[in-house]
Amino acid sequence: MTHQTLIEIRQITRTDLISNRIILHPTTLRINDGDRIGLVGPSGSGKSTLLRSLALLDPIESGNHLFLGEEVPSESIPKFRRFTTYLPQHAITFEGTVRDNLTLPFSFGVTTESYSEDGALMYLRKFGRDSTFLDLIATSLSGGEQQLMAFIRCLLINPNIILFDEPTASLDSETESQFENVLEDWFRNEDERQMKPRAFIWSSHDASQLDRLANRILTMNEGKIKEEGVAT
Amino acid sequence: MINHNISEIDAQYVSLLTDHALALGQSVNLSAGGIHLSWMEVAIAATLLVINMLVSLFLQLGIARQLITSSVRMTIQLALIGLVLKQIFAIALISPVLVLAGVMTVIAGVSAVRRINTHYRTIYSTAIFSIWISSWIVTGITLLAILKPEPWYRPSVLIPLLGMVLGNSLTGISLGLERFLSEIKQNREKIETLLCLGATRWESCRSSMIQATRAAMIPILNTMSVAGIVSIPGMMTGQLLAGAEPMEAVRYQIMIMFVIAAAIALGTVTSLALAYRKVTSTQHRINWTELQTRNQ
Repeated sequence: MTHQTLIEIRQITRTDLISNRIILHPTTLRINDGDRIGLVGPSGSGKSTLLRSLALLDPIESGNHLFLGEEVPSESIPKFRRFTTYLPQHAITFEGTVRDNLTLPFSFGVTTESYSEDGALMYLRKFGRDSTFLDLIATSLSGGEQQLMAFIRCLLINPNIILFDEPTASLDSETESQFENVLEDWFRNEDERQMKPRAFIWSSHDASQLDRLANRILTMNEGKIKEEGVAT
Repeated sequence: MINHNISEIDAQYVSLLTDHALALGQSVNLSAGGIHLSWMEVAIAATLLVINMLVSLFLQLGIARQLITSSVRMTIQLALIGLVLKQIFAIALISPVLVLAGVMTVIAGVSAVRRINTHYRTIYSTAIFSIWISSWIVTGITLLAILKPEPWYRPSVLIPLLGMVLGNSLTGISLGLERFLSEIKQNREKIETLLCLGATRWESCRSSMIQATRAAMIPILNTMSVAGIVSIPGMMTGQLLAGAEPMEAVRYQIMIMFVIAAAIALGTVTSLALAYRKVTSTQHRINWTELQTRNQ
């Protein structure tokens, strides 16, 4: 059974303009519906650069970036980022309560959808929190709680693809396990009325975690994808 | 730190504005209230620097030499501009007036950038263009619709008026650009998070733009709110010293405050719009490589 290709990059390169060093050599990759891609490699190997390029956060110097077979027009990039969102290692919180942070993505012109308190509560319960969590000041949360909030904020916009950049590096093992369970629910469309295309890339240094989560493994080194394998 | 003191800038033009009021034949009567100042009397004022010198020596501040250098430099600069203005006022032709106005504008634009820490490649053209547009439009409206001198380019009116507008605009543009660029640089992760959640480039930078516009407007708002209570503004002081009738001096001061506030708003918005277009991309991301810290 062939799965629909969601994102395809062809021969994309990135250069650090200050040092003039190539940080991503010509890279080709397809992300298909149903892909659970583990991304490994030492620090500085180009993992974050690849994820940022996939999210169109950095300029494409050469090569092509295609979403559903077509290049994304400039004016559609905010909409593309609702389909393909990037979650960095360190959660970013904004002023106000957790609820203020969760409603933020619904204040943008790109969407006509509104914030769902029920949806937020459903995810909070999966992390063992209740509605009082919504009224806490976001910046006063622990690093791990901030990361949970950022993950829920990301899930509430209901993306098709999530690009995770070492998201559980600062979490304890119990929260990490909850995080993975919520990811599985999202991936299987557990909470949706209809099946939507789903895929993710998970960057990590933890091989055992990638064995649990991934069905494809990409190994990066010195700005290149050195090998691609199947998770055991 | 960027100098917020608008009165200091005004003070440079006090004598010229007195001249302007005289040229318009309005209420200034040197024989009644004006006091002629000779170079000898200026020299007596210079002896007050001894206080600064003593403070510096007593507290070992190490700025005595700098005080002398700055004082000499200020005296020479003002004497030279005085000579230039004297010639231009005497000739009263449009071309030297516009050349001097152009030179003043370019210097103001360059000065606006000098104290900004975060730069991008074309920041000088941004500042010069913004200060040119804002100051010349506002000065033009003031000359043609409010003061209406004959001819419209009368140097004793145009030059001091433009000087005051430029001095205040450059402060606003400088403060606005500094705040905007440093906000963008310091909040990189927040801005990218907003972009990742579907914000447009404008939505991701809006907070920084608001902060920057506020920062640029604060000095003139402060000056306007305390004018006449805490301080007598520079232009009014000059006219009063020259013997102007107080209500006439007040009307001039109110008018110039409105003119300056408009120039700052126009200059700030123009410069921020240009900076925003330069540091963001139509592909809804930030051009991080454009942003460089000074001396890097």
